[in-house]
Parts: sequence; C-alpha cells; structure tokens
Amino acid sequence: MLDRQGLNRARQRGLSIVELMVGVTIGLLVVAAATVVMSGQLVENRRLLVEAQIQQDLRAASDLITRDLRRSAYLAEVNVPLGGAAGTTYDSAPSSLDTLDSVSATTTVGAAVPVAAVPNKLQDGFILSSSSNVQFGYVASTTGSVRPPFGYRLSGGVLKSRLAANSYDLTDANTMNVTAFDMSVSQPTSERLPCPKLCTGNTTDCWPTLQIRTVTFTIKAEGRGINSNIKRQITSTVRLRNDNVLFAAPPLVTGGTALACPA
Amino acid sequence: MSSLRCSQLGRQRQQGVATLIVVLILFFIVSLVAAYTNRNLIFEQRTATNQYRSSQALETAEAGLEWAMSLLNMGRVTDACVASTDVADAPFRERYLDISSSGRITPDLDGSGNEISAACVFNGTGWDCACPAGAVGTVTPPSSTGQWPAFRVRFLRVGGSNTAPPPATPRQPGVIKVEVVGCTRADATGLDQCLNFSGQGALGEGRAVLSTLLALTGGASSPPQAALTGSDDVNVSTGSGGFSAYNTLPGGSGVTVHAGGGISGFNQLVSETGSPGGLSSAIANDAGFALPAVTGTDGITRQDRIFAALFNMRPLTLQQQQAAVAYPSSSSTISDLASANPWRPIWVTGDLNVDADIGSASHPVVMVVNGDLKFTSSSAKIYGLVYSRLPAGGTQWTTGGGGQIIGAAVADSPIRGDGTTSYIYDPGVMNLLRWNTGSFVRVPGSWKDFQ
Repeated sequence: MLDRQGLNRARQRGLSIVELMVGVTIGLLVVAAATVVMSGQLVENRRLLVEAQIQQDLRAASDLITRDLRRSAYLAEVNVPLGGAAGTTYDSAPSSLDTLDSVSATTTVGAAVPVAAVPNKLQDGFILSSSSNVQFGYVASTTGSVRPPFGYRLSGGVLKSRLAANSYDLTDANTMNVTAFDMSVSQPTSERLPCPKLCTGNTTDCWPTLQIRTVTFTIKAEGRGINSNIKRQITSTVRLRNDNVLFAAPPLVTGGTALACPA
Repeated sequence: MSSLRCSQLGRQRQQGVATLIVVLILFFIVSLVAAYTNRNLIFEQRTATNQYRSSQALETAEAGLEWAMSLLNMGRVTDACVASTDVADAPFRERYLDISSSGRITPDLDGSGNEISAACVFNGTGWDCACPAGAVGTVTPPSSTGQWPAFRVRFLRVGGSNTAPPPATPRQPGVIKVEVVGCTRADATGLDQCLNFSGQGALGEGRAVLSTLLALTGGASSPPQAALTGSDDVNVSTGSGGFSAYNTLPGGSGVTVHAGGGISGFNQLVSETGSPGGLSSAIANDAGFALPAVTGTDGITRQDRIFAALFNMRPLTLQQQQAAVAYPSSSSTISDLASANPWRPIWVTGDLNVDADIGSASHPVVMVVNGDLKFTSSSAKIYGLVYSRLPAGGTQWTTGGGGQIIGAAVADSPIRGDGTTSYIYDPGVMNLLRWNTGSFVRVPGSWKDFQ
C-alpha cells in the first residue's frame, strides 16, 4: 500500500514551480522575438507592397502617356493635312487647359472653308502643354466616336486621361498622391522646306517649316497617410514620330484650295 | 535497475514539446510571409518581362520600318537583301513596287495575285533577310533555343486594296504605304504566328504593327522642257562640227534650247515635225531666269533657286538624301555606279569625263555635276538628266566631245563648249525620272501603331 502509494507518487512528479517559470520565460522570449520579427516582416511587406503599387501605377501611366504621345499628330486623312475633307468633324481644341474635362464644341470643315476654319491646333498636332497639363491630338478616324483632343492632366492628386469627352483616372487615389506632372515640349530642330517660288516681297517667310519634336515628362508621386514618406518619380522622353509641318499663316489659298507653297 | 530508473526520470523531466510546437508554428507563419513576398516578386518580374517584350517588339517593328526605307533607297540587291552590282539582281523597289507612268505606285503581287513581302530574323549577331522577287519572304530562325526577334514588311496601296483594279488617276502619285509587323520570338514553331499581320502574338510574347506612308522625293520632280537649258547665255563654238539639240519626240515641248541669255553657235536645232527648226525652236533671253537671290536667314542664292525649280529642294538636301550616291568612287567607274544603283541620284564632285554609256533607256540617271563635262568617246551616251552646277570660283560650264545626252541637260551658268555633242530631249526618260528617282521618305502625320 505504502509501496504502491510511493510508486504512484514517484510516477506523478509534475513540474516544479522553477521548471515551469523557466519554461514559460523561455517560451515567452521566443514568442516575443518571433512577434518582433513577424511584425517587422509585415510592416516591411506592407511598405514593399505600397512601393510596388506606386511604381506600377507610375510605370503604367507613363507607358500609356508615352504610347499616346508617340502617335500624336497622326492624321487619318493625311493627304488633306491642312484642313481635312469637307464635312469632317473635329472636336475643337479648348481655349483653356483647365477645361480639359469638358470639351464639347465641334468644328465642321465645310467645302468652301479651307484651313482657317480648322482649329489651328490641329495643324501642329495641337500639342498644348503647361506644367501639370498636356493635351494633344491625333485623328485615328474622322468618322468614329473617339475624336481628339486627347489629353492628360493632374487633378486633386490623381492623374487623369481624357477620351471622347470623358475623363478617366489613371492612378489609384486610395494608395497614392501624385504631387507633380511636368511636361515640356522641345522643338530643337526646325527645317525650312524650300519652295520653287518666293513669297510676296521676295522672302521665304511663307515656306513651310518642318519641326522635329521631343516631349519630356516627369510624374512624381507619394504614398497616402502613413506611407507618405514613400516617394517615387518617373521620367520619359518621347520623340514624336509624326513630325510637324507648319504652313504659312494666314494660309496660302487659291480658289478655295489650301497651298503648301506659293503659286 | 537504478540506471533505468534514472533515464525514465530524465525523460519525464524533458517537457519542452509545447515550446517546440510553438516554434514550429512561428516558423510556418514566417515562411508563409516569405512566400507571400515572393509572390509579389514573381508578379513584378512578370510585369517587367511584359514591358521588356513589348518594347522589344516595338523596336523590332521600327527597325523594320527603317530597314524597308533604306532598302527602297538602295541600289540592286540579292534575294538575301544584300547590295549587289549584278544587273540580273533587281533593286528592292522594283521587286516590291510597280510605278506607272502617271506616278501611281502599286505593290507587286505574286503570279497568283497574292500579296508579297520581305522579312528578317535576328540571328544573335545580325539580321538574316529575305526579299525574293514576286514571293513571300521566308526566313529561317536559328535552330538553337532562344528568343529571335523578327519582322515582316509589306506594301499597301494608298486608298484601296492591293488586288482591286487601280483607279485611272492615282489618288496620291508617288505615295505608298508600308506596314511592318515586329515580334519577339520567331522560332520554328511560332514563326507564322509571329509574322502574321493580323491576329495575336504567342502567350507572353510581344508583337507590334506599325505603318507609315512613304513618298518619293529628291528626284527630277519638275523636269525641264528643253533639250538644253541654260540660266545665262549659251554661246558654243562652231569649230569642229558644232553642237546639235533635238526635241522631236512626241510628248515633248518642241523647245530645243532654253536660255536666260543669247543663244549662238549651234550646228543643228531640230524641233517636232512640222515645226520650224533653227533658232525659232529655241527660247532665248527668258526673263524667268533672272531670279533675285534671297538674302536673310535662309541665304538662298540665285543658283539654289534654279536648282530648286527642278528638284524642289536645295542642292545640299539632294546631296545628303538617303538615296544619293557620290562620285568619284574608289571602287567603280561612273558607268558601273549608275548601273548598280538605278533610280539613285548621282552627285559628281569635280569635272566628269565620259568614255562609256551612263544609264540606259529603261534605267536613266539623274546626275548633278559640280564641274565641267567632257565626252572622251564620241559613241558614249548619257541617258537621263544632267544638271551642271557652277563650282565655287567658276564662271561658266564648259563641255565638249562628241557624245549624246538623251534626256535633258541643264546648267546654272553660261554654257561654253567645243565639240559635236547631241542633246536629245526624251519625254519618256524625263517621265521615268520624275516618278522613279530619288528617296522614299516618311510623310509627316502618317505614322501609327494601331490598326
């Protein structure tokens, strides 16, 4: 009996208070260290995600703008680059850059109305640019519903694109705040195209000019809220594939037909 | 017995299982986080690869566009698109384009009326190309695994399908549309999909289709109307036989010599049948040549303006255009140069002695000679337009010898000479030159990368 009791007691030794405390302490230390590591991981990961998202958004936006700018000044009816065929309808370029969201006026080119009636911005691919705003056009189709001008601008920390009189967000307003959108159009190379005849007054002033244009833009963005210390920027330089041909102003017109060179 | 007891007791004391499990769970969570981060990395890499492929496809297509333009402005080429001097090899523009006498350019088709094209594939160090006459260009990508970018070039008629009967009057004379498809992987299995103008690229691969209009410029766009045109007086010697000028062929203006000053010393001036010959077939003292020089920023001289009246460009622009070839050349005579480079303007620096035929009736030349011209063989003929520019410090154009210029000759200075040269105006030659010579250049406003 005593023996059995002694045996039972010997089997049920349990944990001493010291053992328990040492065990718990070591366990807590491990858990604490792991928690620190994991929370650090999570914070870093979150930060990485935001960084990646900003980077992706900037890259996607810059890609879109680069592609669009590259084809800027394309004219579907290039054989009538001065004014377009009779009856062609173009959205006219807005007079102010701030009204990019609401362009609705259209201009119809009439048979007897040559160049002068067309918004002169169409002639040079109507690239308008100021800091944080650019607008440009290309005539993919003179009959479709998607007509120029197209454009991009910065509004309320969001980069917006204009397509067929509507405006779309290019960047996510919840994660990032676009702080700057700078655009500059350079016209470094300009070549006067010779005509066989001189202009009135024996000058060459009315001869057409060919311009090779390069556009450089920079987008800067930062994270929202606690991620506002994450700042990224992207710069892209685009050589416009469609060179600009500037014709005389006022246009040379003979019998309702616009001319490139003096007759 | 006692050792067993001892070890039993020891095992019972080791109660760390819970801690082990906790640590294992923690490690599992950490590895989950690591895997999640890694997933982002993979996504990033995919995005970057897509960007890389799409840029590569666009660059390939742009390279194709430039390549097509360069080849159009080159001389004779072999079936592998390499420059050739063999007259059996047709120039690239004759392989793919058909230019009518009214300047209408239509793309050539194969024997069954199907579209033809040229193609190139990148082989690791350079491009392997195929431009067969009257067939679809087929390339063979390297057999080793890898990414071989490739492009295909085709030509399209402006304002109409290639196979429809062309309109009587060309909508845009001298203009043709070129379309290029560029893709990033042309291996043995994906070649057709890669070089297809319509449809989609393979999964994960880039593809771009570009097109632009090309216009012919830099040739004799406003040909002269007389067999011999001089901006000042034409006063040649009647010694040893004398010069003759003819404008007898149908389609010609009948004007033999056209000058800004007096005309004297010709042996024979023959106009169309029924028209009076002699000096009444010539136009002397034309005030139209009295062009004022333009001072100011553009610095255009009177000579430049006479040049521009014919070529619609300045001398420097003609000299520096892509298709222009320069003579003297270290490797060939002027006759060989002209035969290897049909439809390319020849820019001659210094005096030119002609001892053999230059050009032919089917492939005449545009030649700008910056100096005097002398025939050293009386049987030599020049087919085409000879424009003589006054070299710096010169006062007149001196010509001589006994050959023939079939086409027209123009000088921007007083013409002097002694010989028996015949100037024969050929309206057919002039028309060929007008619509065929020069460089194909891009039309501003026609580049696009969408369908």
